[in-house]
Amino acid sequence: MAILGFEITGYQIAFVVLAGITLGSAALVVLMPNIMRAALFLGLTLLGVAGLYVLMNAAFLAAVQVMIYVGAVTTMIILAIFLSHRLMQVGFAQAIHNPVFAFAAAGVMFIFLFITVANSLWVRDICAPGPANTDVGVHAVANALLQPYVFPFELASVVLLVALVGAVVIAKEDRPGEP
Amino acid sequence: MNHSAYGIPISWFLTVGALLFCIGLFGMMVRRSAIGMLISIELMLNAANLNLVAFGSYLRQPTIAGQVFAIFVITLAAAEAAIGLAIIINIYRLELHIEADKITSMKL
Amino acid sequence: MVARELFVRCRIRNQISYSVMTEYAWLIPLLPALAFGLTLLFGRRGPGKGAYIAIGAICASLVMACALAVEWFIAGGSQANRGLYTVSVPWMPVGTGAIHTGFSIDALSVVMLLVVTVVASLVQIYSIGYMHGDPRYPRYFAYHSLFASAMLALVIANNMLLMFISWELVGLTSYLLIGFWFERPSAMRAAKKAFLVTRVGDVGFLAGMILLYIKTGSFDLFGKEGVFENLTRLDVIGPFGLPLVAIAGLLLFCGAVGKSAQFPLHVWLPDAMEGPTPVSALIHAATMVAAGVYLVARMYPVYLADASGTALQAVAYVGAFTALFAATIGLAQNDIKRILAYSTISQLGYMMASLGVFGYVAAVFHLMTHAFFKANLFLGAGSVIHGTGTQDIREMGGLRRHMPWTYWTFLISTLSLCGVPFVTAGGWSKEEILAVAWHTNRVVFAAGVFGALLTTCYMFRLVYRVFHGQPRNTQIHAHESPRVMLVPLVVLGFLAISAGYVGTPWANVFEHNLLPVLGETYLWVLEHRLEGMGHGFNAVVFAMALGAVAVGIALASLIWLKPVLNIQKLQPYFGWLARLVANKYYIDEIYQATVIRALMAACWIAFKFDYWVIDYAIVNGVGYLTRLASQLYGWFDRTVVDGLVNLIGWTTKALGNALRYLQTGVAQHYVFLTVVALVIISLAVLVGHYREEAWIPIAGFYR
Repeated sequence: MAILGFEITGYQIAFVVLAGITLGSAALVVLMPNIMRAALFLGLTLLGVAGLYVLMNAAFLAAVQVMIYVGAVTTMIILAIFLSHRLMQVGFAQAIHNPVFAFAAAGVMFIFLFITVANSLWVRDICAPGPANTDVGVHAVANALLQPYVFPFELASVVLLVALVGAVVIAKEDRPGEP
Repeated sequence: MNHSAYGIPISWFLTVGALLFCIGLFGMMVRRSAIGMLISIELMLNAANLNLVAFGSYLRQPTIAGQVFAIFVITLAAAEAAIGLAIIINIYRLELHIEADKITSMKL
Repeated sequence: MVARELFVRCRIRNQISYSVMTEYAWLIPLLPALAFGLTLLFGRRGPGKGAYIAIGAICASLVMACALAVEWFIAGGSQANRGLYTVSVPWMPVGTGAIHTGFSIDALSVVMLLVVTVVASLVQIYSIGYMHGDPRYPRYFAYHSLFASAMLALVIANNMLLMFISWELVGLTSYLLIGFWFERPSAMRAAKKAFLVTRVGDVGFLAGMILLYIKTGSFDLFGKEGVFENLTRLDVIGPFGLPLVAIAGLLLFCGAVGKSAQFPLHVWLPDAMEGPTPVSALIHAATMVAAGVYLVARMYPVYLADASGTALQAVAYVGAFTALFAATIGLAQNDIKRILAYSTISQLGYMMASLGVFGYVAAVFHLMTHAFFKANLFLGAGSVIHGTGTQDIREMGGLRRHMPWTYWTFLISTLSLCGVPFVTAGGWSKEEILAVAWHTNRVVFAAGVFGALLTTCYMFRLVYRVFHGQPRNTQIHAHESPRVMLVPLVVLGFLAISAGYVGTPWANVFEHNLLPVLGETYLWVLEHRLEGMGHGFNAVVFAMALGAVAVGIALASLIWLKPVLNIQKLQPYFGWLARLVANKYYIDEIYQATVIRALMAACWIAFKFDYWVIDYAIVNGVGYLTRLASQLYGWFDRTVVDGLVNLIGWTTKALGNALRYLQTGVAQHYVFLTVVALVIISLAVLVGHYREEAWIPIAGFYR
């Protein structure tokens, strides 16, 4: 379809919408004074990123993102907020300090990144004009995880286990008379 | 899929990633509460993942390694969130607030 | 011709699909290895103080080995030859290629797996009773598991390197278990001796292995690139005018001599009896000492490739000599376990001799039957020791009435060891050896028959002294052992009879399955060597064997059961002979006087050299010079270097004082500083980069 003389594909529209959701809600995440709402917008951001994964033919990763990030991590963060903030109290809203310097630093950083990205030479050298085809699917992920990456994979499971046990140990209340 | 029909070069994704990263960076600097900082870290991790996946599928010889790395990052992010939140809850129990710049009991 | 049929099957074998059991045979050694770790870590708290973990693991291995045996020997009829199944994975890169490791299953491995798992599981069960109440009970079972694991890995290894590692591991466990009661100095010494003496042989093994590797470029045994396919490369004349392949064979045989306690490295095995008796049964009778025989059998193509036959002749004569030599010593010993130890040496000599005279199948067959009856004899001896508290047969007597189960199983295995034809397993295997020797080498045959006579004599002397007659020591109140010790005895006693029927001359299932292990080429060689030997019952040989046994039993009965012949009368004439034999031909003393004294002298010279030349002249001289230099250097250090260091320290402190205002303790500030630093670095990189290259901004977005 052509709009104002530009040839615009459906993918591009989808991209713009998803990127908008992602970036917009990300901005709200950092700007919302209320930490609870920030956490809810974080969920939206992560969903947007999942959509971008789908656009890059990484459907499995998108599913992982939705399940782990949106499903687990966000929920955990919200739970932690419940446990650590007195919702009814004054001062629940989170103060934000000196945004000017922070904005300047982040902005300069972005400019540098953008310059690097926008410079065409190396991008043209190493990249194809579109993402790889659908053969990069669940099968490929499974094969990669269980063949060349099986050792890191197992290691990751150990790390998760350790983190779990550690989290339980740290968060457990020390009651006297209990081991 | 026909590349020309697709019409999204990799730089678009990279730009979104860069923006997301900088937003996270900004959040790191402005948030007072430890949970807010943790959330910002999640944003930055997502930005990095976006780059990994983009390169993994856009390279002339596409590689699954990008997605695999992203999966590892997600895994470790989950572990990190669990530990981080456990620490935060513990701190809250001790100090009744979680403002990172007021937690000074380890300072000389 | 049998060989022709076998070749055809050799070709067909590639199309056979193997069962899951075969593909997962690597689990058989792995399970005991796991049990080893578990028992070592959690043994004391585990079920049965760790014993049940070890026994569970070895029993699981036993079940798998049985399944393998059914698949390889029985399923599809006795003629079905499954050939060879081998799998390799890369192990470590070397030079241009890689060393592979893996496992292979063929009839020989299956036989060994079965023997090892059967004996090991029974011995471990027996140990529950025998080791009851020992303070290091869990550790005992952990060592047993490690041994089982290493031994099983040894028999399924498909490359020499893994074989060597397992070989050394079984040596290690042997050392640990001989010295299990290390509070006793004699046990400690025996363990050390066993370790060092076998090490002498292992040097030969290692050298042979390296020679094969250099010439064939591979540690793998099988396959196109493997050792066996490329033995022709060793067909050049080496040192002593021998072909290299014969040298390799002789070197490998050195390892076998050490491990299987052949003359002249046999001295460690009798001393190894210091270990717990079940250990003697498993390691020093049934399995580990047979590893030497297994090694020669596994590497048999190397020996067959040697057209000169030197290596095999050495094997044959060393084996035959050891068989006779150890049997004579056995006649004059008074320690029940030492008699059995010399008997083991002698029987291993039989196996070696058999291999030496092309009796490949007979040797492996005898290995199997020997494992069963000798393990049974040792366990029976353990039961006797358990019941009486002594090992000296001069203090025993009349135990038949107190320990009926032990007596009958011991007697059965004794008959099997003596080789009573037609009835016992040992009979079938020993007669097979003698039949081959009759065909190829009459000297070995004569030694074998005479050895059988001696064997019968000393074994019946043992039986009569221990179980018959009247108790000689009234202090001892013998009692039968607990049931957990008797069950293994009965099972092994059953096997000591029944195991022989797989290899009768009329329906030799064993031979049909085992011969193809050699592969087409070497099977031809073997068939050629045995040309003209009838496949079947050799009445002459059987008659002579039967005669030897009968004469032996008669002699022993007349001397020790009913003292008709009084050997004391021979004392004046043959006293020196008796002393010579009773002192084991003074071999230990000879070693002490020659090898050990020479070593000690060399050590003394080295020590003096070390003390005077190296320590006094060189080291002290260097020390003096060094001290001088250091004094000079010390002055330099104090003034110049320290001054610089102080300067740096002062600067750092001043800088720190200035910088500490940055350390606010606020995480956000740190992040901010990090970003600033990052920006500065990126700026430097970008500026440097774009000065060199053309920069086309934004163009990357639409292309």
